[in-house]
Amino acid sequence: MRVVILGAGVVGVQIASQLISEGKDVVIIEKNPERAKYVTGRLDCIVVNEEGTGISALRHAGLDDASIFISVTNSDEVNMIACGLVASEFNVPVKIARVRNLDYSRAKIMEKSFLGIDFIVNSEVETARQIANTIALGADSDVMLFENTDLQMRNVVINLGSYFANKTVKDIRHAIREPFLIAGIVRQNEFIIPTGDTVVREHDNIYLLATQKDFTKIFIQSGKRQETIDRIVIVGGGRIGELACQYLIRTGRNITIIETNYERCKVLSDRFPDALVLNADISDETIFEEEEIGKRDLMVTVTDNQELNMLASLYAKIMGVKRTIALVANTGYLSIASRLDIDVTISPKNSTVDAIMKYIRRGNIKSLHSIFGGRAEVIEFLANEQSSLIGKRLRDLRFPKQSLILSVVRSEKNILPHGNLAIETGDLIIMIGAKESISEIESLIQG
Amino acid sequence: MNPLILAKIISILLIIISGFMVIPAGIALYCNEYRSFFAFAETIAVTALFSAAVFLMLRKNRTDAISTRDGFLMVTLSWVLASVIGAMPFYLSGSIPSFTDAFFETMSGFSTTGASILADIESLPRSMLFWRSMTHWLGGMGIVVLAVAVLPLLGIGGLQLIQAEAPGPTVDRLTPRIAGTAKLLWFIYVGFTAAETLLLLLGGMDLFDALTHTFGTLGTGGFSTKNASVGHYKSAYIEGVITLFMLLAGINFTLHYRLLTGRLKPIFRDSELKAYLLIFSSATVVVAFSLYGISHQTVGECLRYASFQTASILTSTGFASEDFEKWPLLGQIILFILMFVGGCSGSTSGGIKVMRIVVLFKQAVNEMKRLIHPRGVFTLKMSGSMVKKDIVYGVSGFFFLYITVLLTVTAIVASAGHDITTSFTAVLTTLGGIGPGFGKVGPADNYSFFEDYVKWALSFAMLAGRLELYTVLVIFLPRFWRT
Repeated sequence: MRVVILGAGVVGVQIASQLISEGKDVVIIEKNPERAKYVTGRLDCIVVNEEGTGISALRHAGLDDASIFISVTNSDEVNMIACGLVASEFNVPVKIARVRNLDYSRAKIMEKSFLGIDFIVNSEVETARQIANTIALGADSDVMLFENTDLQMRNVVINLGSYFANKTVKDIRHAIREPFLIAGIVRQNEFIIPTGDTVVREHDNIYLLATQKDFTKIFIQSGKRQETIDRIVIVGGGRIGELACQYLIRTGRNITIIETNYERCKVLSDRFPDALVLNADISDETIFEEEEIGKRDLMVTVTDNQELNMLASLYAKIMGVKRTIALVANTGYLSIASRLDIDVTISPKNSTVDAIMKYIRRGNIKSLHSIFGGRAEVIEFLANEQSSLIGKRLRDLRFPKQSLILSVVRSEKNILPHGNLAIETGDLIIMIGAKESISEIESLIQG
Repeated sequence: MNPLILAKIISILLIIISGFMVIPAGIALYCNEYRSFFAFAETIAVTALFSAAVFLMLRKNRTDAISTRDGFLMVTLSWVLASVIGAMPFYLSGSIPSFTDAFFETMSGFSTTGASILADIESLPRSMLFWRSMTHWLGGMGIVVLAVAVLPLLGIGGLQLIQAEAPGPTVDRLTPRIAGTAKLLWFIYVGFTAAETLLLLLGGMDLFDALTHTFGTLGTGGFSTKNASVGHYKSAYIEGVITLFMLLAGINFTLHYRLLTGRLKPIFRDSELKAYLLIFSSATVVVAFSLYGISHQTVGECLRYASFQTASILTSTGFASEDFEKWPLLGQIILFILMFVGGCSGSTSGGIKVMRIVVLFKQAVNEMKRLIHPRGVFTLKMSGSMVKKDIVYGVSGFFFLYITVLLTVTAIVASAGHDITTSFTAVLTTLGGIGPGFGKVGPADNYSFFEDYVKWALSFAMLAGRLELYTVLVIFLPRFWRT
């Protein structure tokens, strides 16, 4: 299967590397020669160094026999026009465009095919939704939600002296009564799928799976207090900040937005009369005192400057803000951020990649989250009548080594998996797998 | 500045006005009031002949190149000349022997003030009373708006002219062409006139009284044909109808248009309308409360008199159903405060206008918010959308000018030896287009005792108030005349 990706930005490269590791043929079109050269050296794919809106370049990239076209350049217009060109010149079944401008995304172009685009991804919307969801769930860890169950996955960084530290997975599960699973452990840039004997160490970043209600109890037992989040400061009034504010203000929370651009402040204060809009620079510490920022419950830093986001979050923590969420665009920073005292890091690139990958793999797969910079994925899929998995017991299934079935959801009940559990039609299965094992898992699911 | 264009447009306006004078002339003939008839006939003949001559001489001049500056001068001049022409029948027929008084009365009519120098209104010939009320009706929607609606020759310049005449900080265009908008406004106005006349006829008024009171109501003028004003009829039904139409006339006519075309959303969102209704209802309740047990005994009666008088003062109409100077002081002070407010922008009412009051209030609140959050950014919103800075500046400037004119003219009136209450409220009600004030100019009194120069000063206040200050005052700036 050939996939053509237009635009070798971070999103393009990340999608490409995931698809390549799953054994797909990828062709990237990138107009900037420097960037094209850089990508050629890093990924096992063809890079066509041409302008993406030329038909010859598209033909050159092999669109005649491609099955998916993904346009993720920085320009909405280029993405849409490229999809339009592909739709009229070639016969590609799936065309995906990243469109950041809200005016396009709000329109009904998803329902009526516009320029032949099959799927529109808006990274700002995805990111803002993720921020709002995280806050709704307490903002004490990254949260992944699944489609048809109230199970969720969260990550917890093991601090010094944590309840979980230096215990085996088996012991932890015995000590805590609520049903939950440790789905994965990130230890020094390495992703581990734990067995019962794996020991959790300090500084580990562990991924837990449980229901929302049980999480509260688990956090109480493990000594992590949950607090109400009512007074929120959003730093950065760009599109993500605006969207996040739009979602949050509906819940009746007290919102303050800090933005450096005066004109932008005007727009925001016009849109959100109930929010307090401050025209200030967060790196100017007097603002903390002037507006008593330290007394807020949460700070969300979503400026364009990711280093500033991280620093401001850390400083806010020192000043007394209870929780912080930082937008970190560069995937290389995610691992640094997860070791700092930032409660949640959110990456717009990851949410875009998730959305696109989920669309590509649609079908039985209900949801898909890439975690830890794309090194592992959490898949939620449905076992339908044609599935070869039906009737088989879990111990007989030959899933790859670097993977684990986390939960089986049957008639809205969560069943913790065990070897003798047989899969039935209509079961929803949540599993985790390292990147390398994804294509194998996929063929098992589809076949 | 192009005097020829000005002369041409003004000549058209005067022809229109003398055309409307044919109606009272007809009434004079019908009622055998020959002295009045000749006064009307003379005025019509002289004005029409002279204006037609000017128009024919200048007919080749294009009129679509009116500058904003020409617009201010043209509108002011035409209002002054219209008042002079309109005063002639009163003066020539001897109904009002002094020209100063006749001019004051006519200016009071066109500016929809309703302040009168007549002690015994009922002694005037019926044709004169009809013309007196008709000036309200013409001045309410505006003679220039009427000219733009009727004559397509004003072209692009029309918007400037309407802006110079229309009440309120901005003019909404309802149709792509300004002449279409002007036509729509007059169409609604005429529709309301027909409706109110019909309702008043049903209440037992004769056609003459119904028409004249409708003119007084919809122009938010306040001239009655009876000495005791609307109180003469002693009818709760008539007061109710008039209250309703006073309130309607005080609402932005753009909203009436939206209502007629079935678009209700902008009406519910309109900040000015909400504030206007809130002011009306809360003032009514307070006034009714002040009356209860003192001048009236039942709740229904208190509400009847309170709502009529509140609507009358708030919309700057100036009808009276009772002498409110005999009311308890709480009720009086509420009416006094309402004299500063006025109706909505884009209506026929006078005063500062609810829109400006709301903008200033919100701006003041924002200033206080800024004291608490020095780096906060706050926007001023009206009807759900942002108000631009220059509108806020314009409104603040207007408010200052309003107070300055109010105080200056008060000083002129007081210089003739009148007490402060009389001087201040006389100016307040003439500037705001209301009519009755307090002291010696209360609803049971009249303006005839003032000295001539005071009457001219008050006439100026009426004109300046009706044309929303800027249009008139800008002419007094030296730089207006520099080229």
